[in-house]
Amino acid sequence: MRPVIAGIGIHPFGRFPGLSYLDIGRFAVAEALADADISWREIDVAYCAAMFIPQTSGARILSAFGLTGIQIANVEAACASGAVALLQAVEAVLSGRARYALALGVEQRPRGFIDPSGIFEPWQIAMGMSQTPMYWALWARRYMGAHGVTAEDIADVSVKNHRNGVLNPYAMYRQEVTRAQVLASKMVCDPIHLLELCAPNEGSAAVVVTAQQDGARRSSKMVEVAAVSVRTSMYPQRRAPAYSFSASREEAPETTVAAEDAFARAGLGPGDLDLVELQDADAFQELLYSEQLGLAPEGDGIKLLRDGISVPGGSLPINMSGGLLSKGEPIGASALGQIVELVMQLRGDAGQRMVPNARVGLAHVVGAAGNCGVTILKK
Amino acid sequence: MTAPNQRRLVNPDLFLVPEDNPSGLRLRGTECLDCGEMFFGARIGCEYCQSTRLSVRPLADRGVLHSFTILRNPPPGAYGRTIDDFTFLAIGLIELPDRVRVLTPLTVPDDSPKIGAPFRLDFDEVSTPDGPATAYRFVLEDQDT
Repeated sequence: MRPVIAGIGIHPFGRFPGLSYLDIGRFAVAEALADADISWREIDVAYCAAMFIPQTSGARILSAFGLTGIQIANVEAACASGAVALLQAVEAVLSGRARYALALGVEQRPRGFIDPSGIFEPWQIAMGMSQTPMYWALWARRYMGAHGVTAEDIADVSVKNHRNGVLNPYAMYRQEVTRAQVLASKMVCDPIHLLELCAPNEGSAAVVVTAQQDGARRSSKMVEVAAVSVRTSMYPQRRAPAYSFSASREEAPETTVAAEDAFARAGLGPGDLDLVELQDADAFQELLYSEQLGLAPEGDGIKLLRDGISVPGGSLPINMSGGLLSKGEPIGASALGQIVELVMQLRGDAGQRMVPNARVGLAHVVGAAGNCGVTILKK
Repeated sequence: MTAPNQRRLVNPDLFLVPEDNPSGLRLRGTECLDCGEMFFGARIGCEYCQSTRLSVRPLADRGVLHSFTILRNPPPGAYGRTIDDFTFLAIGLIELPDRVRVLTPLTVPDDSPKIGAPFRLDFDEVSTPDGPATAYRFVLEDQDT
C-alpha cells in the first residue's frame, strides 16, 4: 500500500479582516474535497494542525460540512504541526482505519512577535529572553564568522525568495526587493533585518490522503507520499525555549535526523530531488537547513545560491513558492502549504513558477522545541 | 528552594543560595555523575544520557561571550524592565569554564560586544506579575582592571 494525496486546497496566506479561522479553514477543505472529487461523508478521520486558534477548532471548522461522527483531532507541534497532521492521515490510511483521511492546517496570528506566553516560562519573558528570532540570530552570528558568510549573502536569500513569491498567487508579499532594500530595512535582532524575517499571518491548507495498492494505476493528479518523518530535538537542544546550552556535545540537529529518516524510508537521496520547500522563517535559515538536509556541505549553503543551483531554472530550486519570507507563516497551515505547493509542482499545475518535469520534492519545517517535519513527495 | 533571606528569585531552580552566606547568590549547575554533562539550572535527569545520578554545584561566575544578538524592539510579553527609554537589549550566550553556555541578558556599553570578551555574573531586579524578583545577567568586565 502506498499513501497518496488525492486532493489539495489552499486559502491564500495573508491578513483577512472580516474572515474568521472558520471561514479560512473551510475554504481550503472545500477545495480539497472538490479536487479529490469526493464528498465530506467519505472522509473517515480528520486532523487539524493549529497553534494559535481556539481549542476544538478542527471540529468547529469541519462541522459545517456535516456532523458525521468521525474522529477530528487538533494537533500541535509548533511549526511542524501540519507535518504531524499529514503523518497521522498517512498512518490512518495505511493502517486501513480510513479510506480517506483529511489533514488540515489553519491559523490566525496577529502581527508582531509571537505571544511568548505560549512557548516561554514567565521568568524568561520577564528577563527579555522571549523573542523567538533571537535564537537564530545567535546562531547566525557564529555561522557567519565560521564560514565567511556576509550580510549581503543572507540578504540575497531574501531577494531570491521575494522574487519567487511574485509568481505565487497564494503568497502574502508579491513584490520584489533589492539587496539594498533588505539591508536598509530595520534591524530586528542583529544580524537579522526586517525584510529577512517572515511575517505572522493567516491562512489554511488541506490535503486528502488515501492509499493505493502497490502497482495500481494512479491518476495523474495523485502524488505519492514517499515519506513523512517528524522529530524533536536530540540533546543538545538549541531551540526556543532552551536557556542552557552544552559547550561540549555536538549531535545531529533534528533537521538532519528527520531528513535521513525520510530519505531512508523513501529509498531516495538528496540527489533525487527536483525541488525543495524549506523553513525560511528568516533568510539565514535557508542556508543552515539546506546544509542540514544534506543539499550542501557544512558552510556551503550559500553556494547553492551563488552557483545558481537554488534559483528558478537551477538544478535544485529552493522555495519556488517564495518561501515563508513571501507567504508569511500561519504556523498551523505553513507545513501543509508547502505540501500543496509540491503537489501543484509535481502535477505540473504551478503556473509561472513551475519547475519543469519535477518528479520528487521535499518539504521541511522546524520550530520551537525542535519540532521538525521532513516530507518527500513523488510523482 | 526558598531563599533564606526571603529574597524572591525570578526562578528558584536557577540559583543556589549558600545557607551560611545568603548574599552569596550563585547560578545553579547540575552535573551528570555518569556522563559528566553539565546543565544550568535544576534537572530531574540528564538530558543527554538519561541518568538520574546528578550532583548540584554552583557554576562559575565568569565566562566569555560565545555569541550575541541585539534586540532592537522591546521584548514581547510581560518584560520585567522599563521600556520607556528602550534603545536596545543585548542577549548573549556566555560560555563558562563548566562546559555550559548560559543564555543571558548582557550589560554592555554599546551594541557591539566582541565574541570572546570576558563577562562576569551580576544580579538585578525585574518586575514579574507576582512582584519584584532577583534575576541574573552578565556584565562586560572592565578590561583595564
